[in-house]
Amino acid sequence: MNDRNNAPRTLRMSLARLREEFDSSFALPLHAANAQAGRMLCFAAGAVKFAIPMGDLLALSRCGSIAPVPSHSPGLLGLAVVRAQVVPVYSLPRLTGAGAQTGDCHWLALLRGGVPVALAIDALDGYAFESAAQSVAGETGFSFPPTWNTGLIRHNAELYATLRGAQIYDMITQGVSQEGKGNAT
Amino acid sequence: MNGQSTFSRKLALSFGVVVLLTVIAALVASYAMSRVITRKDHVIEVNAKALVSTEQMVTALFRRSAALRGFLLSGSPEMVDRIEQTHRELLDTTNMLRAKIEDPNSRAKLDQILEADQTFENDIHREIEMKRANVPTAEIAQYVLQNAQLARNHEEQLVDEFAAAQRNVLEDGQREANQVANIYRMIVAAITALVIVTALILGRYLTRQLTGQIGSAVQDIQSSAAELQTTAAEQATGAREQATAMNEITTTMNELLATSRQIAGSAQRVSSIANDTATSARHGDQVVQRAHESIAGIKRQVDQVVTHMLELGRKSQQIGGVVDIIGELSEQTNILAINANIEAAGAGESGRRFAVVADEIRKLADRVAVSTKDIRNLIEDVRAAVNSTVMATETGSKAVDAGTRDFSDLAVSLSQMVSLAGTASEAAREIELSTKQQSTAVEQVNGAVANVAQVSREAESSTTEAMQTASELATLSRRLTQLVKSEVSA
Repeated sequence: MNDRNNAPRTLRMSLARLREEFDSSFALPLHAANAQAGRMLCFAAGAVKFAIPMGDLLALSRCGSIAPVPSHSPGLLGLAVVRAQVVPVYSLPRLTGAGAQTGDCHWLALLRGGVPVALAIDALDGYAFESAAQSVAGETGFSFPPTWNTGLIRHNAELYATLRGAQIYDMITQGVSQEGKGNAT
Repeated sequence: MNGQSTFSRKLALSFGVVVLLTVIAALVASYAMSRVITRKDHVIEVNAKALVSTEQMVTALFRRSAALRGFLLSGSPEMVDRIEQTHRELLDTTNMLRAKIEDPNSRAKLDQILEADQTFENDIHREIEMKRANVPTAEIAQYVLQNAQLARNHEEQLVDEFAAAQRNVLEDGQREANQVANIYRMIVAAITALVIVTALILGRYLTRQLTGQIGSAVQDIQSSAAELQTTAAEQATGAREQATAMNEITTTMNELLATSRQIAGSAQRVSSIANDTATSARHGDQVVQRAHESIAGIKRQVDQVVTHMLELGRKSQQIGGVVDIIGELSEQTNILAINANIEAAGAGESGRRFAVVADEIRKLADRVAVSTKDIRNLIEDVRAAVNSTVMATETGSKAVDAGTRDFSDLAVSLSQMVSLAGTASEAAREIELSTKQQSTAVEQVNGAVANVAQVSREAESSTTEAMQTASELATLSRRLTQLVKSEVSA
């Protein structure tokens, strides 16, 4: 009975705190906002966590049905409809050779670029800022190809592999992933 | 006369046989007497009378001859009349004999007599006429000697012959009558002898039968007398034991009387207790009725609780649907916020503040998502609690139903208890009344037992007398046996 009576009060307190935080966020100074350059979207794809700069993304949408198509490209999952256009959907673990896309696809991140390309995302983990303090490039735990010019950031005690949109385009167009090379040979 | 017939029947049958034979002998004797008498009567009526009539004819014949001689001597008309009278007597007698006699020879002889008489009559009329004509007596005498005397002699000869014949017939009839009498005398004698022999045989047979049966009966009497002695002795012993038993029964009856009075008192107390039980059961029945009504109210309340709980479950489902919508909205908001961040990032420096707003909106959406998750968890808890409550209330409702049924059964049981208590009270009253009647009956039985004891003592003395009587009967039977054996040997 006490828990039931306390639940609405806790909810009201939580709402009040949220309102306060929301209101206080607008009170931040502009330089603090400017200091937040290099904002990245953190997400999980398969067993690997990735971070992509927000500026390299065009949009985020829910993952609908993905129609598989025959292709020699190792990371191509299929075709999906995003914002009224058909786009190819790729798996970052496959493209990077970090593993398979084992989880369910919940989101599609549309890359900003010449050709619309979508990435399959299992779960969104929030935003991270690519700053010197957060950059942990060189730490162990990942075995990306040496040609990759990638780094690592820490967010919520988790390591995320940072990828650029251009890198992803290169992986797709040049087939630089390890698995893609193996399949090609 | 088979062995199964009684002796009186055998005696009556034997007497009947003897009487029958005697009657037959008497009938035969009577018949013989009748035949002999008839024969004698016939001899007397026919033959003797015929002989007498013959003598009358002879007499008439002599009287007419005497009258004729008188007329011839005196010439008196009176003599003529006497002649005519004797002639008529002779004719009448002759005709009478002719009517009675059946013998043809005798009838022929009578015809000859009549013919000779007519001749003699004609001679008589001639002599009368000669006398009247004053014919000399010598001539008349001559005529008489030549005619009338002959005719008269002839007629007398015929009459004598007829008389002799009738005497012979009479003697023959007497002999035949004597022969018939002798025959029937012999028959009667034979039947009499047969009756005597039969009577002797039957007497012998009945004597033997009677002796055998009396001997058997005497033996039976002896054995019965012995049995009677034994039985009388046993009865005497039994009577003494019965008297002793009657005393014990009297003692037991007194104890039974006391017990019956105790039972009557107990039955009265049981009746009172049964009445109290019936009153308590009725009170309990009223309490059960009120409890039943209370349980019915509880059942209605439980049903309302179940209804409310179900309604609460439906509301929880609706809340879950709203929370789902809120979660969907928060997700959409999150997407919008991310996309706004993306757009803000694409806008460069001008989109930074917008990115801050979008970021806060995203955070808010995240918080909303967390809160909706908490709400969903809470709703799930509420639904689980509602389900548990509904199940508990359903269990309670079932328990209430079971309690209602139990109370109904309890009400029925209490009603039955009231009825049974009434029945027990009635039975206790009947037991009390019956026990009082039993006490009265026991007192009566006690008196009757005393009378029976007195009767037993009297029976004991009577049995002693019966033993003496049986002993005397045995003595008498022995004497009768000796008497029968002496008769049989004789």
